[in-house]
Amino acid sequence: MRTIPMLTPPAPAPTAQAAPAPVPAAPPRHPAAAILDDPVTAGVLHSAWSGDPAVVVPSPPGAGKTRLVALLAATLAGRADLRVGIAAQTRDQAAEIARRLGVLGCPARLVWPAKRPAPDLGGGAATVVQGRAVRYTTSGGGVIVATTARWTITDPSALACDVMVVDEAWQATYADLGALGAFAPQVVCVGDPGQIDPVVTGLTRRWDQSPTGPHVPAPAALLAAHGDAVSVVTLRHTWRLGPDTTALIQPAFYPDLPFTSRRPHEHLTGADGHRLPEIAARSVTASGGTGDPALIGACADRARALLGTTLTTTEGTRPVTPGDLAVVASHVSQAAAVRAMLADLPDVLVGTANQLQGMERVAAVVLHPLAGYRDPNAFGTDLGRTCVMLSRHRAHLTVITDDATPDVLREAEQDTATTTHRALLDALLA
Amino acid sequence: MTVEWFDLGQRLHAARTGQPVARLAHAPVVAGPVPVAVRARLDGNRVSVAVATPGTPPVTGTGPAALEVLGAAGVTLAAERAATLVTDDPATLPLLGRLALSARRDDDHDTVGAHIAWWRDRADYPTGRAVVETLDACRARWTLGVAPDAERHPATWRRWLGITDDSVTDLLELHDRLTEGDPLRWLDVLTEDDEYAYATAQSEHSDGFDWRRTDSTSRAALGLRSRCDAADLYAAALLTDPVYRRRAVHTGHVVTGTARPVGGQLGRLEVVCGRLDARLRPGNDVTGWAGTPGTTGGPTFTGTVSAATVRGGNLVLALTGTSRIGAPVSGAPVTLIPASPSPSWQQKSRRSYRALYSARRSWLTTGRTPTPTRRPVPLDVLVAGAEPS
Repeated sequence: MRTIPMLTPPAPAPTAQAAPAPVPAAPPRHPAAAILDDPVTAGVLHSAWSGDPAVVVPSPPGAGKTRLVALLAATLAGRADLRVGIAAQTRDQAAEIARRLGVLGCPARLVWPAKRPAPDLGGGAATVVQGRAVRYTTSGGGVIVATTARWTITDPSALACDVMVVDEAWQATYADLGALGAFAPQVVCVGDPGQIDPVVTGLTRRWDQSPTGPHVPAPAALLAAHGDAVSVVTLRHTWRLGPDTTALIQPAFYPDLPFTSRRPHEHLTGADGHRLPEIAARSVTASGGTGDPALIGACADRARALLGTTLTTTEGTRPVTPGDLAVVASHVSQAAAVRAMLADLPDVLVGTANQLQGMERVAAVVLHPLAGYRDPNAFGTDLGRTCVMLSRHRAHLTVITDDATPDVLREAEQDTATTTHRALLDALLA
Repeated sequence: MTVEWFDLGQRLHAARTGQPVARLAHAPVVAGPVPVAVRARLDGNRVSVAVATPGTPPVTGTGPAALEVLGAAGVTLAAERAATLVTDDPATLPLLGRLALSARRDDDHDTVGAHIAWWRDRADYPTGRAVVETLDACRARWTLGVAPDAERHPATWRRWLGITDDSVTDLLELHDRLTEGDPLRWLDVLTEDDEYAYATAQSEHSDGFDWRRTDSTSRAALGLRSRCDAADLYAAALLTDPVYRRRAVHTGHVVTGTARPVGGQLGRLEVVCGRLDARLRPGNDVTGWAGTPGTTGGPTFTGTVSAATVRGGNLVLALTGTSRIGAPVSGAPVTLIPASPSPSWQQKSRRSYRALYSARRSWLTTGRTPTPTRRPVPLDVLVAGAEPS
């Protein structure tokens, strides 16, 4: 049962001798009040607070999704006294949201497996709860953060909430969203429609033609099934991607989500004093498949070369450090091999597109997803994976390509994915 | 060596010897008690089938007669045991689905249609108890000395496996070859699931459930969940096969190295690996044993990867929580694979998932379009967010 907040008792009437009353100070600004500073994020809050059953927030890369999720949950819990559940798609994402909630002063609880070391939440107000003891407080609002997988093995009668916020919702299946629906009458889906579809290991031929199939990204299926009942609030600016990258990826991956770059100016400068372009490509000859050492070596070499550059932003110029760099590959084995070659630089972020989704660095080296292939398969041409790979950087991107890929794409069956890849590669190699 | 070079070597070996090279030591599909070989094609607007069962000559039929032929071959939910579809043509099952829809609800063909509907559902599961797509199964079991594209043609397989008859009956012989030997681990668990699904289909059909209906939200969600569980278990089953593991070393799914116990610390172990492309990452649970990827039957140990670093050009995997039983001695060759999912844990998780969909409190679990319940919104929120740009 909820309790009604206590009202502050009235102050005693001033006496005749009392000093003039001070000018009343402005009420303290709620730590999450920044959500009201932008009409779009305020619109998301308004929809959720007023009771819209479903809110979908499509967002381009680098538009501030995680920040929005944290501000929204903190405001709904802190000001509207609502119980908010947050479903993240990975443990890392869940920890990052809890960390941000903690910084906002929100006493969120992060549900974490008992047998894994608890993450560092950075000393904010959020706490980690291990085991099955997690509950909302008996009065007022609250926020519980867990992965979708964790929510789906939880008792909904113990953790029922008012609003379920699904972070990176385009990575969640419609089936999982339905299961999360058992916890709350309202859902808010925040995510990036251009990126990797949910990871589904089973075959889905049974629902291949269905726009509301259980394997379909949750927001897409939700709109197809209940479009009239869904409020859509679109984020339209990227604060990460520069103008050249925006011009490359917006038409290719987001034809229905026009967005513009609001990234403050920044660029890299080479050791020779020349400014590096925002996007560059380097072609390599490879004959040993996707794990060809020439491809792996080119990625590692390029990452090392970028360490000799400087970063210029509105705040000044400084050398690029290993922590500024990411190397992104398609395959786990490729990423592992690059990581090994850069073992003396442990701060360089190396991983697959799936692992690096949601992360950003000053500069990125990308191993083209079709490098090493002589017969483009669905994995290699997947547009979501490519979009993730091409959108992790702020100031500079180098794409390592296989010099056979243009011919491979020319000879392949011309479907949407292949055609898009051809156009992208032409633009990269121009 | 990359996996592409490994595959090329296997193909060249097969070409030199003229014999298929095994990719598995075990059978990738189980033998069903009622195999029914079927090829379907479109004759104008009607579906024709050629059907063969063990010990009987092939029979053909078109339209309603095709349903009759299938029913006589045991393809009916009225049969005590489910029939197994054996086919070498990816178009056959969709055509059978079309044929099933021509069955009238109120005659005997409806039970034939319902059985075909069960096939169409279970075709997404990997055991081969309900449906065996022989081309896929052959590619899982053997590599031929031909270009990969040629393996997509049934005639190539018949030629390499010495099957001279190209009638539908030959599919039964191919099926026998595919199911020879011990099946992969956990196929028994997955087969039980098929049997359970068949019993459920029978009971739903007798209760009047219409198999023509599209899946409800909850039925589809639960179907996806069990498909993924089955696929995950099958992927783990492949890694229990010693021949499969030889190739998986080159994809990073199987990791080999040398054991180096961490001095004086119980349950801690380092594995120094020559290859750098392991797929194992910190946080992954692993199963390991002293020996090579081909070693079978010895004791195994379990543990969790706590760190993956590179020292002196080698990948060093630090394991914690390693079990004492089966733990390798210092300097022993070690093989690591990802820990397998637990079938009982999968079952428990599916029960939880089902419970969420059974709660029926939410418009999302029932699939009903919701009606909003409004709350008052403070003025500052109303002003700031009522009309977002």
